[in-house]
Amino acid sequence: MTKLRSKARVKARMGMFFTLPGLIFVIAFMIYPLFTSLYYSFTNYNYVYDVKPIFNGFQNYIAAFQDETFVLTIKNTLVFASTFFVSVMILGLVTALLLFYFKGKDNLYKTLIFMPIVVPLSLAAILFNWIFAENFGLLNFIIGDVFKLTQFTYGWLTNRVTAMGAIVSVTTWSSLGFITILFLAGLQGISGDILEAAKIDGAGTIGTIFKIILPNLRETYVITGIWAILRGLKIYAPPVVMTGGAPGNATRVMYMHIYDNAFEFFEMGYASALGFILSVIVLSISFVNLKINSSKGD
Amino acid sequence: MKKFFALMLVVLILSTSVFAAGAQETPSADQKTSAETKQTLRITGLSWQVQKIFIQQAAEAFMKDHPDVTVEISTYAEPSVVANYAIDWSRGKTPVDIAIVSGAQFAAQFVPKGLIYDFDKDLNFFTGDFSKDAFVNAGLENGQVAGQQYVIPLIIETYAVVVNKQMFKEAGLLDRNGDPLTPKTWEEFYQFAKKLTKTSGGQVVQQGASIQWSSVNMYAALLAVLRGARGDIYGPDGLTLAFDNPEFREILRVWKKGVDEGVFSKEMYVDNMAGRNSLMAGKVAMLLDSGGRFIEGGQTLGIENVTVMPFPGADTGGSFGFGAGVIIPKSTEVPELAMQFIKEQLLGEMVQTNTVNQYGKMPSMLRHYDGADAPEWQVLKQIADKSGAIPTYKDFAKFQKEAPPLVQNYLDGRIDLETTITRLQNLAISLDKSLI
Amino acid sequence: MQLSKRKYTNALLGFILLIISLSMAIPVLYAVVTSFKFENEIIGSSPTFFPRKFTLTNYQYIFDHKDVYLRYYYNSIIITIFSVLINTVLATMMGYAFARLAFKGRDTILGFILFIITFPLAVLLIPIYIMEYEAGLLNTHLGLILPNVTTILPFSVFIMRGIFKSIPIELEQSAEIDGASVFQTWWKVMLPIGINGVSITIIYGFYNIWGEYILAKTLATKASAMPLTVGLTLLKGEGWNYGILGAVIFLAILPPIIIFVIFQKQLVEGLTRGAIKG
Repeated sequence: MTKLRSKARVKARMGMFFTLPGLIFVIAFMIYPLFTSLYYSFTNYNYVYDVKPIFNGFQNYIAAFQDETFVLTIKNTLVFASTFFVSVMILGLVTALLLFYFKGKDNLYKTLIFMPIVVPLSLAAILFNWIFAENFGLLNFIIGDVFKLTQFTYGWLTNRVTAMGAIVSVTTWSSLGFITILFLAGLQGISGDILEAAKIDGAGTIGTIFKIILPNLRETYVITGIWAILRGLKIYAPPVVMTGGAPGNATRVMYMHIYDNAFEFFEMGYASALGFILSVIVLSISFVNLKINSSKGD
Repeated sequence: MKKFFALMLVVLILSTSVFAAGAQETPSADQKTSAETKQTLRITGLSWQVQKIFIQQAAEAFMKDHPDVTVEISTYAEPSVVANYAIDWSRGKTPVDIAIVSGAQFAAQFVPKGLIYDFDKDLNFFTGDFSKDAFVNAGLENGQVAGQQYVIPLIIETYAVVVNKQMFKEAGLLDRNGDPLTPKTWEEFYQFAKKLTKTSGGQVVQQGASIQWSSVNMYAALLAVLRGARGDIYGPDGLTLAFDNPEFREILRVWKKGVDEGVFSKEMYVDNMAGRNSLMAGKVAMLLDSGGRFIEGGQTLGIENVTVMPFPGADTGGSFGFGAGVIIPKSTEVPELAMQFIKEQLLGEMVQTNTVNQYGKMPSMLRHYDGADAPEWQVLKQIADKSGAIPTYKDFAKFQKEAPPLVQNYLDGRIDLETTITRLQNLAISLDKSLI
Repeated sequence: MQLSKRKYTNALLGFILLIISLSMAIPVLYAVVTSFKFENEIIGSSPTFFPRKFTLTNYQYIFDHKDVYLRYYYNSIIITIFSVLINTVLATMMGYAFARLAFKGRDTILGFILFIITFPLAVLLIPIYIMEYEAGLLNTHLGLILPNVTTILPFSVFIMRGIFKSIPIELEQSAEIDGASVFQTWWKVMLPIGINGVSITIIYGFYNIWGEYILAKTLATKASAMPLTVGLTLLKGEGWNYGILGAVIFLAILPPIIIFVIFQKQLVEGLTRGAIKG
């Protein structure tokens, strides 16, 4: 009895010891900026023109929801994030399954699929901006000159719907590799015994996938899901680079609005409040993802 | 696996020494090096500015003339980085002695806290050959905050129409001398563009006109055409932008007609360089953008095949001028040297004539136009001399960001004209105009 | 008959994989190929895929200033290696604690750490800049390593926690019975079995920090500490010259690709080794 309790105590002590260095790191570097930001969010502070921040309570938060443009950016961000989430999760899972079941030399495929990971998203956005360009873009070139279907060449980025689609494509292209890696690791982690048992019971591949594999990937859904949610909701480079929020405000996302308020209008107070609102949205959705996928006894 | 960790350990040990060395900030020119009589002048700009304003060559020439001076050039990645200099400047220190910035609108952020020099009051810059009337008006205006000269203009650009002569010839739009006709009203502009648009198989293969409608730069096009139509961008109070008038309504109406009929291109909605690229590829007849772009058009189409003309009103009312200039922070230890460099090199013949002839950036000083090769520069100089610059309100950035989506939505037919005008005008009224 | 059906489906899988791989690779290939073209082939009226005339002009500026660019590479390498090292050590430790070593307040701390990732970094830039300014850390390697680690640590902890949780508790218990201390269990049992998680953490850290732009452009304004991602964007003219953009992309991805090719065997092995495969 005492042995068990002291063992738990040892574990607890070691737990704290293991957590401490990282925690110190995070506190030292994040606490000051985060709390300063929190403070600013309750003030009216233009950091170029104002001498000091002036306390104004919840005014920034209230103003945020009365700001038509900001509310629009929330909607745009959610549209983008959900489309991105669905496309990258499904494509990632399918690719991982393909790699998992494929028998043969898959090194080339793996290398090519993982390659976009090393292209920084900001550069990838510029690259795709050019690919989707109306006049000299690769896409229109392939459609028009290679397939000779000139009537299908289009101003991809000047139409609201296809512009959003283009941004989703870039982000999916950039993220697919990593999500596939995560799913692949998850697939490898499924016990070989369970798969064997299924085969013996006569389950076909499709049946195995749906009844055994998918349910067993819970932990992986949490990780990939959160990653996709984070990237989707906090997206910045692709819309800024490819459309600048245009046409109209159709592709203006929250992070863009926050950045403009902070660095073009210099309104640190308002921008900080917007930042916290974004934070809360991300947190809530991540929490939902966690809850849906939490395994028993967590 | 063990080998992997061992490898990591080796990397860690090997790199520690390197790391320790790298953790020191390499001694910068912040500190005065040795106690020689050598002086150091540090100048910074965006990389395209450093290139197109021939800063490297200017530095070399200056060092030749003054062997006791070292000129150091650095480039910054984005304007927001210069904003951080304010932190240094508030503490009396500075990493640069001269900074190239886009104009008063950018310099305005340093004025309330008194961080940069007023060239007039503090430095008595405008003497002798460098009096104020030696400068192009738009340039000076572009460097003034609340009427005070905080930026010395180096290069200017102004909005005009760049024209593909060959296309005008094919459409029969030439005058008796064989020069392209100039549309005098916006309706005429639209008619010209219609004649100049060619389609094939449902796709536009030659665009009549492309106008600077990007989220980044549309504000410039709006101010330019507004000034051209009315001679002034402000309303009766001299302070608030005025959109609620028949002239501006007419412009928007014509623009929308052009878009609906596929005569004006929407390509610049998302890409502020798209028009210039189309011009160079020989795909557009009229480009309403910075007039200096005709040089770039000339590179692919041949300089004889391009020219510029004013958009309706630009020759009488003026256009919109912008450019780049320099500021001097008060924390510098060598203000006299900085001024010398500006007067001798940056405003000197070598820089000012090379920048116009090679890159199409117009000189800020009137006398250097004699050295400008192409006759088009005289046209642009006249337009620029009539042009106005950006309003330096505290909130102008809001206008730059919020006006383009409004107009784009109108051109796409999502909101009607009256709503657009009302919203634009309300936006103009709501801006904080202090500082002008 | 069974065998040929399997072969047929396998070939089909392979074909689909080929299509996916090509779509992933073509944009990058296009960028690289374009870096060797003259501008009139890129912008002109008849664009091409492969260059008709091969040229190195887009690389000229970089070759002329190779000292500066080598320095950018060096900075990126130092910052990335050290950040990834520190991050991996901290994440594996914290991940294990959150997975198996319960103590009071553990969940609150976990929640706090996760909250950090949700916050947009841009808003924190100014306070971080001022912090580093006062500490004299601007334009130093350390000044970029510290915030970079802090940004990737939370998610890395999350990954490691997930990996460790999915390892059956029996393995730990048997180690305990054998008399191993907590540290020994972590080092000798959990890490080796969770090696695919460690690999993922390393990859995640590497590619995030290698491509990091926002922090770097604010905190490193001098070439002495500027990493590649920022340094290369200085090549942008008023708008991007696409040939130069291609060159920039090619140079930016070259080192990670080389590293990937060299360490491919270890990485793939580390990634695909099952937790409890037979």
